Amino acid sequence: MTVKQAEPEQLFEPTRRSATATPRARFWLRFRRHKMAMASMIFLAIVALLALAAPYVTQHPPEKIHSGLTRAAPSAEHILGGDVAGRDVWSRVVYGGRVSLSVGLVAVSISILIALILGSLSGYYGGAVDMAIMRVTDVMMVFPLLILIMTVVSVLGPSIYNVMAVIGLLGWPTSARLVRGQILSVREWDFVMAARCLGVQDRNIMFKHILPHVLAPLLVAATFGVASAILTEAGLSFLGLGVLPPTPSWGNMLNGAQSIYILERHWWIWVPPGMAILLTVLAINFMGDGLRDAFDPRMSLD
Amino acid sequence: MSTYILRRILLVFPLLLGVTIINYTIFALAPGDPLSAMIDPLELNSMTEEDVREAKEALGLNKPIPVRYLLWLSQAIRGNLGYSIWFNTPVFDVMLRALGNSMPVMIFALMTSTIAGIALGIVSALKPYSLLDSVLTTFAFAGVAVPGFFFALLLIYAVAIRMDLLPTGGVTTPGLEPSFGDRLAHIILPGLALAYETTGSLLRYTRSSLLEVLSQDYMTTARAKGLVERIVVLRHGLRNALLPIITILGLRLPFLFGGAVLIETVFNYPGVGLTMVQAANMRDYPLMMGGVLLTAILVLLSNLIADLFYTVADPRIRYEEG
Amino acid sequence: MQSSESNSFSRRNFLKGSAIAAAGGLLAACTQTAAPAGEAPAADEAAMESDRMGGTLVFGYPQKTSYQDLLAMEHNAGNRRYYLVGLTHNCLVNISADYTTWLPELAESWDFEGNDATFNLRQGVKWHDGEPFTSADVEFTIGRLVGHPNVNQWNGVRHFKGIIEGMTEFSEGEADAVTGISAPDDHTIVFHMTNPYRAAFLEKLLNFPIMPKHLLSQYPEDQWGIDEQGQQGLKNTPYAKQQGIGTGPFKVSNYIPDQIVEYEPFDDYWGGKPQLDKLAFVPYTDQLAMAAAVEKGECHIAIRTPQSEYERFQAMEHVDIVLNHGPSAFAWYHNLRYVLNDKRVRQGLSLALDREQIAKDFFFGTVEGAKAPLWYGDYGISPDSAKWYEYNPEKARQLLEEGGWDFDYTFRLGMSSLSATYEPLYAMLREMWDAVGVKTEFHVMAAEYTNILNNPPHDFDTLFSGYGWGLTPGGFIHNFTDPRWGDVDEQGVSMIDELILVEDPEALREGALRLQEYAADLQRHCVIAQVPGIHVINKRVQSGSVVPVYGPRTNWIDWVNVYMEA
Repeated sequence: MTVKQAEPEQLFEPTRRSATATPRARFWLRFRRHKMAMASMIFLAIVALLALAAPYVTQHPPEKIHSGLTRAAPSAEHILGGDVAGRDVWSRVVYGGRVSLSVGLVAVSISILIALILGSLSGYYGGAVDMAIMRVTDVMMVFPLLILIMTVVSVLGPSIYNVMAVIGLLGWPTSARLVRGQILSVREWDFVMAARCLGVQDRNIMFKHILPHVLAPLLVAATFGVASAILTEAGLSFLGLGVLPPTPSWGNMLNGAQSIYILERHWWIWVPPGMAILLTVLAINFMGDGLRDAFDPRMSLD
Repeated sequence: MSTYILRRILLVFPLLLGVTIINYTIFALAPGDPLSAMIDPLELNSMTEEDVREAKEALGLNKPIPVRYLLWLSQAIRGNLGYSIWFNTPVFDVMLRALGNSMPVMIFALMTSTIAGIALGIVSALKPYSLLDSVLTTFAFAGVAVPGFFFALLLIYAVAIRMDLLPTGGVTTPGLEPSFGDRLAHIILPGLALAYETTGSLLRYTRSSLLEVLSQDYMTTARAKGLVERIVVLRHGLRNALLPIITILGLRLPFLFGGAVLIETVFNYPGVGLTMVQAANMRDYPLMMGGVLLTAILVLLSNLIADLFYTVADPRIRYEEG
Repeated sequence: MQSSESNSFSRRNFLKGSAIAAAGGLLAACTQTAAPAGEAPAADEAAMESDRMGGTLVFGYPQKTSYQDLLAMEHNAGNRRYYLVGLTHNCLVNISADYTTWLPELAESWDFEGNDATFNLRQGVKWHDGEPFTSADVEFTIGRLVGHPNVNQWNGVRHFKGIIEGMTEFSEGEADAVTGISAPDDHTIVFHMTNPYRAAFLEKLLNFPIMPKHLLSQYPEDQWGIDEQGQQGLKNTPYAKQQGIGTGPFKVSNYIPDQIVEYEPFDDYWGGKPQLDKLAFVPYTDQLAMAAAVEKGECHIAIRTPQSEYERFQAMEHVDIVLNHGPSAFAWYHNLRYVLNDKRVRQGLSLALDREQIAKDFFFGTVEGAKAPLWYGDYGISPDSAKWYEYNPEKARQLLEEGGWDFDYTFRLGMSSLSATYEPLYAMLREMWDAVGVKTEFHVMAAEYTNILNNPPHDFDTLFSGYGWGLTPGGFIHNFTDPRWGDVDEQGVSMIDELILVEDPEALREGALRLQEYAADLQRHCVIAQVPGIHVINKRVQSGSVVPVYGPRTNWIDWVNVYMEA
């Protein structure tokens, strides 16, 4: 990823050092080593801050039409110019970030929650429960996700909530498998066996001993999930099945790029949302990569 | 091994049934009716309520949903997916024609991305943490991060319009005699647009799995035996690192179908993706259901084939099961 | 005079032709299109054959969705079938590009006497399969196909119900045949009407291409209807799926739904064999794809190109642009059963809209803002003049207050979908209404569109829709009768009932003006702008005497004489 010397001495150095530190400190040590992940995290923090502070960093409401601003070039008053309807592009990018990020976060929270529940039931109880849940998972994984999401959204009607819900409700199978697999391996570990022998309740074993070990890989999966949910929203909006205007989202703002005229002469209409998606998704992926490496010492060679 | 294969094949049937049930559940949620999207707003103005009622009745939209589903399923089992309301043609025919257009693009995309992804992944892994590695990694990540339709729009603008190298869309050039060259010319741009994301993931996968393999003991042994580094990598490392790629390629199909939805729209390329977008716009339920079902079956089969290949290719599985 | 006129026009390119058509007005339009109708001398035909230019022409049109089949029993404004069927089929009559003159097509002449209309059919016309065209085909098309109770043509029979005697009874299954149609001989067809309709009847005929009896009567009538799977029998026939045989200048050579329709010239076309070697119709689902194909010369004639590309097309040297807006517009329909009962409120909402700004910003200056509910030379009236169409926010506010508008109420704007293309338009409208204190909210009906539209209580305050009207005042009648937009307006209906029978152009013009004033004052609907028709034509496309127009027929492209310059 980053430019580094591949000398074995140096490579193993942090791991050796980290052997003595607490798990959290070890995690941070490894994560900080990942320069792109660190940079990405800072970038994402800025994006998130801008989105949260949207009313304070913009001068114009995102849905307000200014006369004479239709496709107008950037100026001191409107630093990223105006869009096809004469709205301030900077405001729309910032508010659009709110929408796109929340679509990503909400959708992933839904699918992670489902994955956690189904995966845990499946992994912990095994047998018929496992069998049933896993077969449903298998079936769900067979559907091409975007086609399925598109179909369901078009059946329900496009709206920001439907998009969030549908991406979330259909996106859980991969994570559910991950949770199950993780639980299957953790429950064989000695300390779980020991807890069982000591008569600790199922629920306690689950929540106190097993789940913490599941959360790390799940967090990594969730990170990548947010990235792909943002892309899915963009695609759906492009097809007119996503977040409905005038509410801005990075996806529906990109619709401006459907015109060669705008592509050629009005870069400020499509470059900002395009770059916002590209950089945010890129940063999320780098961060996910960093998290994975930091959580999983085996991967730290990468 | 044969019991494993048999079990694997038998597993397909319950999965298939599950697919139709989920498919049904989704469409049971549908409000309204496809008729609404079938009438030109201009025509609608002049339709009386009675016209609309008649039109609905004529389309069989007044029957209860479970009845409609059972009708559909009983036909589907016999290989008849019903008729597309909009096309007035069997769904199967519509999808088959669309698939005939999509397949060459997907195969092109799969081949391009496999070759490019693996080759660049090896380059990346041989010189980890070099400048080249960083460039390639960024390239790979960008492939995963750029919205496919956006990349496709830029490709059309740059390659088709500015450089004037390839056609902007469609399947063939109208009026020309059908030829391989003409077909290929129309496949390259959508194929590349579709391939980018897969290339990125394969590059990342090849790189990390090769790096992992290269650090294994047997590689050290091979090196210790005095084998040249390149041979070590290619003979021992690559083989082991790339075996799982068979499975990965098998699992790419759903993503390709998903990508095709957007990319075929941009390229006006009448394949599965575009057909599904139109079905969604028209709320042509039989076509939507049939399309979802058929793509799911294709994915199921491609997973099965990938699994079987893998079983044959990887000796470890044979021993386990034997 | 007619034939020499036609020959002198035939070699000119589209734009010259269009300029002349526009300038020459009534007479020129009449002679240009009428002339190629089989009157060219034989020697001329031979000469044309020797220097036939040929070539392949690709015709692109924007289409989010597919067309159904080749069996289009009627034309429909705004419908792709329009263009497709215009190539392969003919109607009895045609109309000039400026909507002023009726032209002969399959009928060479016609004659009205009392309630009867007699059409003398062109002789020697052949179907693409070589069979002769006769009055039996007309009798079959209008007398059986259009009105048959089994055939579910949503729009079709409506045109003739109550106009041709016995059509209502036949379409409702109460009679075995339409009593009001007779064919005294092979080349004469007579319609018995309920009133002395003239232009209004000819206009109805424009909607119906004549279909071949010898092919379609092969399919039993009891199978024309809808089967268990919702299939209309006729649309599942080889005729609809492959043949599409008509009497028009081109015949279908290859048809792949949603992808392409290819045509080849019909050697025995009554108007002479077309010049082109091949003609392909390609639907474009994406507007960028269409614009790109035009720019690269992959698509030679593109109709209804996106207005956003207008400026770029203007800068291109290899294309000509024809701005041609037919009688269709974007409009808001008011649901008079709710908050819009007071006329002053509706007038206020109309005055609040700055149509010129919308035309400039949203339509990229390719259309003008609406100035009246009727338009540009419709029925010969001027586009200006109607009240309640100027921009006047102060007066708008005042009228809204006088009309008792509740400024706390959120006005619901219904629409079928919120497509990216029209979103800026909606945003602008909302902003303008907001400026006079009317709060608005979009109500996207999506899949529920038809349900909401057709089942009371209609769940919208005002509805955005495309809107088209007929060539005679009769086409305007739904503005006064449609139940979705309030109770029937008796005065409007009676005005139209009177006008529909008027023949004197001056009297028609005056009547139409009164109609326009009345409709503008009533404001049951509020027109924004015309649907922009920006047609782009590659300069390699040569000869056609008249431009393609977004109107009832495509035959204004002189398909017979068009060829591609090498």
